[in-house]
Amino acid sequence: MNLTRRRLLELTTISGAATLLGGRFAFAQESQVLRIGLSTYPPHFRPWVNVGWSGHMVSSLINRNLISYNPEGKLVGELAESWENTAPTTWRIRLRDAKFHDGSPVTAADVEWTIAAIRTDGSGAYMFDALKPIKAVNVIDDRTFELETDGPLAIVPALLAYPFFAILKAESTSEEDYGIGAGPYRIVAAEKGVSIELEPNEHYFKEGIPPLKGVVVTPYIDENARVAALTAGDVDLIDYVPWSAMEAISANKDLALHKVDSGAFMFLTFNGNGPFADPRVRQAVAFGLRREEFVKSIFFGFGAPMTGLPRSSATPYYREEQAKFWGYDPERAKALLKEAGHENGLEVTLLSSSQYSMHRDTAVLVQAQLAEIGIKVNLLMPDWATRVSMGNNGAGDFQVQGNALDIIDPDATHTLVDPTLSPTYLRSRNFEIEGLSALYAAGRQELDPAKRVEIYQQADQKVLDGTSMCGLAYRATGYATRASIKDFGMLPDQLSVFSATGFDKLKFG
Amino acid sequence: MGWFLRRIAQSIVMLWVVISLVFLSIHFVPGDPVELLLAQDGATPDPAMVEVVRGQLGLDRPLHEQYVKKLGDLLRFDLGKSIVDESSVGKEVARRLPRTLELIAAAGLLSLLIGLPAGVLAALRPASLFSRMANLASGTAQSIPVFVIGTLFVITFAQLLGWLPAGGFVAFERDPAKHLLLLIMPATTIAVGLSAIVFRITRASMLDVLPLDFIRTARAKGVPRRRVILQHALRNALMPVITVFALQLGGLLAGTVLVETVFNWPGLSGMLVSGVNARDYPVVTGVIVVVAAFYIGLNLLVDILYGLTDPRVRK
Repeated sequence: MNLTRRRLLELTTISGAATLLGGRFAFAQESQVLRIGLSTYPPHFRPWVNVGWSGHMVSSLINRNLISYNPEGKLVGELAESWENTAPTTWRIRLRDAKFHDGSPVTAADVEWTIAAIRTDGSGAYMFDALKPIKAVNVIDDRTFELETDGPLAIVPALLAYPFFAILKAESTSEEDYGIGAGPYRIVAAEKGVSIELEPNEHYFKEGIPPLKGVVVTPYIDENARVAALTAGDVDLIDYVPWSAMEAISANKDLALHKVDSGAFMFLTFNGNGPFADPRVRQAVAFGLRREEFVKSIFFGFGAPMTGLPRSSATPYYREEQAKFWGYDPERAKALLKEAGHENGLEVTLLSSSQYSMHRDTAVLVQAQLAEIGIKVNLLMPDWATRVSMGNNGAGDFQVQGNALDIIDPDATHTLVDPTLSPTYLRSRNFEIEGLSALYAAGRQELDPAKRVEIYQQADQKVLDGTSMCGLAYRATGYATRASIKDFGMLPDQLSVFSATGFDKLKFG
Repeated sequence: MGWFLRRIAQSIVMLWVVISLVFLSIHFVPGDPVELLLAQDGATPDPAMVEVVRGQLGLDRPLHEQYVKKLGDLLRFDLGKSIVDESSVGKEVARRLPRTLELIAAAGLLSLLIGLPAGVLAALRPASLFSRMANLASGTAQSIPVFVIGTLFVITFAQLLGWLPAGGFVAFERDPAKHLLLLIMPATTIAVGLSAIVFRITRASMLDVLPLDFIRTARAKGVPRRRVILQHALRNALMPVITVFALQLGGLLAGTVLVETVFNWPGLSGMLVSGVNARDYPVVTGVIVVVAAFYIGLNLLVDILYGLTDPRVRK
């Protein structure tokens, strides 16, 4: 054949088109394999170390806790079939007939080994401190054990529902550091920063679950790239949907937005070695902010004003008047400042970070709004790593924070609101709210639910009056999926960031 | 021989200076990797736990001890382990470097295929419509930030037309077709700006060469026009193009971060950025040492070649 230039051009065009069309089909979805676009690649798969909310998603796909939450926020058994408080310091837990990935049964000895491994010095486990009140694990039989605590401890079931408290097969971490779990999927291949491939665990204890043939997790660190991957059909599910994209995703008939408005939250903490030692100045800040503007301008309307402590309305610990305590009242704010001796205003420094837009924009808005009541705010906004370090060293008169809760139990707020706990970048310091620590201690020990409600209401009121934290806005937690994904459920309120515990049921419609 | 040894010694000193600067600067920048490591998504790290982990990682030792240890490790070609995930930095660099090199090579090839012929054509007819349009296009291409071009590509070719995946990476040996499909957009994004530079340098260089006497002589001797342009003019005009092109490619080695981010390409730049954000000292030092060694090595090679071909350089 005589290859002319024209012929070469034709052939190039045809082969180019074929490649593109071929590509269209090449990245089409493999049947019944869920493709997840994750906001980060977990630094590792060790199940007990906190690897963040995105890392928790992978952990939830391969591991199971003893107890978890249902979409209504109620504690439900996972590997645990039942639990009861048999004596003030004893909790008896009965295991299901569940199996690990290798088909071996989940036994009380495995739970005992897991707890011992978490409590080993230097384990880096998230639950290392939280499990300190557990004095002993007594194995009764293969499927029954008792937890003995060093005093009455009401939060034991909630402790067992904490993220990063997966039960592994005893000694299984000696081969792979992520061990052998009992989750709905198991890892078959993982290339750091590229993808994680999972296949179903045929021994999973829930009947007919998981319904999928597999899961492929691909990290998309950039939020726009993540949304683009979903829109282009490269993936079926993404986490951390940026608020700026929520409206467009809602309007797209091929996609579904799953969100909880009262998810994680933004708040302020105070350093008591300056003007914020005076509770009236802290209260002035709390009453001088228009929180709707935070929701609208930073979270594109996807969130809710945070006018009290983060208490789920589905629990008895929720009180309407406490939840709406910090309304916008500039006159009251000015009066409080005057009362505290700052009628001519004051100048303070706010520590935030320029690295994340929600932290940066929150600081800018706080600065603008507090100027209206006579507080001049100077901003200190380094990158995140520096901000954490400066925060730990006590920099700034007050700080912008973002967080969620790990459990629904009211005790979960203790680390956020008690300034007498060890000083870290995440909470107020250098002042005390009288009686607060004692109330939290009493709440943890009180086994009578009605009395616990009373105790935490008192504690909450102390926090509100003393303003050891100042709520700003809840930000919506969002996942987005192809419309064909079914049985997607989210956990309520602040737990919504851990909704992946229910992803074992996900299927294609 | 002495000249070669001196050049090699200079390169080693240069590398040592880079290593020392990187080591010191990353350690003096505020931010504690252990605090960050233990404070994922709002966790409250126990100060006692922070100290334990710091001790485990050797970060509690005096800085000069850490520096000496780092130099010793590097002399043994050991880049250390990541603080964040304890993975081998050397292995991770070895995994990611070829991806970035591939991206740069593909972009370079593409930019030469576009920039060279366009530059030659524009120089042959400097007042033509093509020349003016090409000038305008190259100016535009150079002035648009790379992430804007990348985003426009994603919107057009992935989201609207659905011709290409929005981003990601699949190893060539696993799925060659998909690997090449995933390479198209990021490589083209880099190539847009790069081809504009190649075009401008080629055009300017050709305009310098074309009026010279030896070109006129070649034409007068009856050498065919195409041969005059390609073999006589272009050959002589290529030196500045190659110099600028090589410098641009070298800069891309650690400078493709925006493209890697937009297209989710797991290369070296992304590793460096996440290392800096997490204050992962071994990762930051490891990546920069490899990039610097690569760059210094290339320069050394070029210098040695110059020295071999032109004895004047050695003096």
